[in-house]
Amino acid sequence: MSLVIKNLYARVKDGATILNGVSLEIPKGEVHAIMGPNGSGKSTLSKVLCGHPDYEVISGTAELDGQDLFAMSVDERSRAGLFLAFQYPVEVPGVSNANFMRAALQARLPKGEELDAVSFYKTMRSTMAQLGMDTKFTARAVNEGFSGGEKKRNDVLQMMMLEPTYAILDETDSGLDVDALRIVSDGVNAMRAPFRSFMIITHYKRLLDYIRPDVVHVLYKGKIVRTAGYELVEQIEENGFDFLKTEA
Amino acid sequence: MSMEEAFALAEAEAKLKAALNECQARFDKAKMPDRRNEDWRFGRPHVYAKQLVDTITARDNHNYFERMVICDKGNAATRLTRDDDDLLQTEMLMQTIGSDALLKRHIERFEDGYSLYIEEDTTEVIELVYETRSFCSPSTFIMVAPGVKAEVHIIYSCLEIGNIFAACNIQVAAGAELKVRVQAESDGSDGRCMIITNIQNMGGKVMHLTEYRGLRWAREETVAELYSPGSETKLFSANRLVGDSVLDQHTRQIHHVGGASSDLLYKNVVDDNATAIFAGNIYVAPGAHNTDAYQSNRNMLLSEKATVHSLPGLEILADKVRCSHGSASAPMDDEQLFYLCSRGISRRDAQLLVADGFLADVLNKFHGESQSS
Amino acid sequence: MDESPFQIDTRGEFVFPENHRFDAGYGLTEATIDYICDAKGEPDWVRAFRKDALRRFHEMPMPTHWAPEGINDLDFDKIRYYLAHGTAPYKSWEDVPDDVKRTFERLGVPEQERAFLAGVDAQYDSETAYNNMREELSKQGVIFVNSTEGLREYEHIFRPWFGKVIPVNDNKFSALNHAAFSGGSFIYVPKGVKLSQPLQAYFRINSESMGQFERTLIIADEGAELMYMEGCTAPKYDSATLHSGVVELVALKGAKIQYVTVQNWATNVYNLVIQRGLAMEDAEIRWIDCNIGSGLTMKYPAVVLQGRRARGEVISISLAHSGQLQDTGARMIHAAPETTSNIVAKSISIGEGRASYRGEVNVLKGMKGCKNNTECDALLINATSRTDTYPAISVNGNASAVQHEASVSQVDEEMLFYMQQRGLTRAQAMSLAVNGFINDLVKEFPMEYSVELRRLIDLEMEDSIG
Repeated sequence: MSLVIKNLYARVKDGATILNGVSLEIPKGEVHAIMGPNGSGKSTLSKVLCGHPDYEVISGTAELDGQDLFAMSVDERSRAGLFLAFQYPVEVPGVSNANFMRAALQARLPKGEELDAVSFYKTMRSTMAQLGMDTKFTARAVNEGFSGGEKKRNDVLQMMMLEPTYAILDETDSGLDVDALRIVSDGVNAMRAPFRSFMIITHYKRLLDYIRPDVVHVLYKGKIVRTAGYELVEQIEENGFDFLKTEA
Repeated sequence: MSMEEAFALAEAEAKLKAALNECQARFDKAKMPDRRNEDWRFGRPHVYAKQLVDTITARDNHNYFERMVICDKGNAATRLTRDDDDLLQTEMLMQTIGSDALLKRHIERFEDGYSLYIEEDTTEVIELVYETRSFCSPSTFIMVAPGVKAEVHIIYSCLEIGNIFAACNIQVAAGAELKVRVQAESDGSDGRCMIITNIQNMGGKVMHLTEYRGLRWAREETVAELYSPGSETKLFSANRLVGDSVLDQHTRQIHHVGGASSDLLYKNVVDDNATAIFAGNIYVAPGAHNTDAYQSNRNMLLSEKATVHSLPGLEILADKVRCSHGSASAPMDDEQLFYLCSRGISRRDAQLLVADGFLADVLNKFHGESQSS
Repeated sequence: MDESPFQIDTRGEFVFPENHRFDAGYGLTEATIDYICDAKGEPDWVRAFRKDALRRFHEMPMPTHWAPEGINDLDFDKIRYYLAHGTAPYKSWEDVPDDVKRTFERLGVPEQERAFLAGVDAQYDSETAYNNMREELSKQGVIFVNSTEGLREYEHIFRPWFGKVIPVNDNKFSALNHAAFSGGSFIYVPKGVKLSQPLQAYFRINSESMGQFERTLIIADEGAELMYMEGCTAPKYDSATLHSGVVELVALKGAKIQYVTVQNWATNVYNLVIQRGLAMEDAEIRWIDCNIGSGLTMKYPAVVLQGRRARGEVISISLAHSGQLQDTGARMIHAAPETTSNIVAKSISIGEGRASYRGEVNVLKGMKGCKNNTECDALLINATSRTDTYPAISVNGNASAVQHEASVSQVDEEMLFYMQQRGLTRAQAMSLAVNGFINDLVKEFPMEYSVELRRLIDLEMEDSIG
């Protein structure tokens, strides 16, 4: 069981090609980091996997536990277990966090089954406490007027509530201070399990010190150019991405 | 002439004929201004407009220009004659906002005016002056060729008890940039002026500013049509109304296609017994997606007897539209007045300063911020 | 995108066979009026009043300045003007005829009455079938009866205000209502009495080609407070039905009236309602208005701010599906100094639906310190949806401030994607986004109604998930 991406080419709708044959496999239970300089296609990869309407797949496949990801709608992919913590979480005016989460959880229940409101709120509050979020955020509209860090934390809250099997964290560390970073990382680490895997997109070693990846990939010009263990992170931290230029 | 060209020509002629027939039908139905007509509801046609309406409808009347001047270094202008069929037809196809009957009379007794066909960039402002002591009814046509930049200044001057009824048709080609400043003024106690303007934008940039000064009664009907994506039309007006003058402004921003933008900012300072009426509408046609259209009417009331009627409107039949309108009518800010007065400025002068500041924002936007100082 | 995320509520979509003891037939003539007066046993002055109104109705033109074109399709001769089981309302549901009772039971009226209402008036076609109020309120001097009984039993209170807020010659439809009125409520709340629970009226049309002309007058005496709620349903018939009510509110010094409407008529009902309130010194009138049903609605709740420091407010939600025109709005007439008013209108156009806002704000000559704030927001769901905004603002003098802002928007694609990523279907995500759009206004409705409202618009997410 794994997330398998084969030879994926994708472009901005009616625009430039960003992904030039990405191949990648993330087996269940593993944490993979995706690193790479700005503009290498990291965020595009995450959006294409989730089915963002701005992008189109030119060729290639992506399978989630053997299911064709690209045959599914955005929400079907989510219910199949794929989660994206957005680089820029979106504001949804007038819709409270609690209602939003209830709706998302209810969508995962079989038809006719009702979400138990009491246990829902209990879980939500305890998860928020775990993330150091004030409970007043339950009543506030989703991300509206939140600071950058609050938005990121809110996305991680959603991840913990929805319990995906494959979670992509797109630069979740940006905009977080050291304390928040630790809290968020603790949350992710607590979720690590043999039945769940993570794809962590980041520029910095910092986050990967908290969440130790099993495998590190470097994405460059829309392609995975190197795959190695944690030692690659340290190498990049020391020398940057310059080695790419000599290799490419 | 190739087959295709002949075909296209025949088709164009047929279209024009159909349009003219439709226009004739429209004129046949046209009624004189009346309060029951929505577009004249607050304009009080029987009280204020009557004199002008009577003049233009009187059969024995003829146009009389005291002075008709054009300052045009680029020789773009031509004096109109009765033989200019094309222009007459263009005029017949003009849209009014409630005044078809008056436009019809104007066309029937078409006498004089200018057409400006601007084919090269003009560094200097083309100035056009229509001046009368009795009554004149000029037509003006401005056409700007693709990619050309120009600025035109039209002055309608009602001396003593002079009245003016003017029609102005502006066509701007793709890539062209045109700035038009229209000034209607009177030095007498009973000047009246009515201007019907159509601005057809085929992909250029147009800025249009109207200013009314010292007129007893003025009415503006400005229709801005956007015909191709990338067209950008901005309408401005800035006025200070005193005495018992009435300014009755009607505008339409019509988006025939998507991807164009229009903006309107009309500001009035209303003093004494004066009345300002603004009725604007934004129409976004079905399928004109990705339209940007804004409209803002701001009024500052300075006296107990000043009156404002503001009727901003939106009709949106397309998707992915960014559209808004706003209207605000309020007295002058007491805090600002107090601050100025505390520096030794008389209340009256302070009022003038604040009022000028209120209008300056419009003029700056038209002239460009650089000139604001 | 073309698929509507909403389901039309069909709870009102059932019909019982007609079973009328009184039927005045089609069209409106003097004979129709005599029939109505005889059936109701009305005094002569009412008969004369109705006939005078009928004459004016025939004389007056259809509205032009303030009307959408669809209004001209209405054929007054194809309407039935009076249909009733009986003329006296029952005070107990036990006594209400079986089919009528079953109708209101299906609509949940008796249940709501037990749960949270101070009193109920249930109108079935032309007449009130049931009217009852909690006993302790009668003891405090509160009057809550139908208009026929009000005119008969309380003429001394009713008559001086009858047709004073909305005169017979206000427009063609007010003349029509003055001629043919039947049903509706008469409410009087004495000085200083504050009702803690709402009074409710329920309007039901159950006959083809029916014209329902209810007449409501609510008087809140000095310092009194009440909330009144009305709900409307009708099944869809082959021919058009007409609902043309007149609602007059009088809030005397320091009184407070809130009037809540949730309108869910079938889509071939013409809903042409005139609602106007008179707010005296320090009084407050709020119209909280939600229009979901009907083919054409024309409704612009008004407040005439007649006394110093009076306050007026209109909160309006309308939802226009394909085949519907919701022409709604508000009017605020500032006829006294230091009066304030507030209008918040939000509309949603779906499919080929059209929602229009029409409004009037008028600060009359010599009035100082008046303030109005108007906000209109329109949401377009599909490429074929339409919205219009037609405000008319008049300000006299330099001592009042009036502000109007309107915007048109679509549901943000990015927002939908975000929600879909979390597992909601596109329809559910759309439903939530729309819910968010009107959320601040839904909160203004009483708890029980806001729940009802969300259910009606099918925004309650549990409902839409399946």
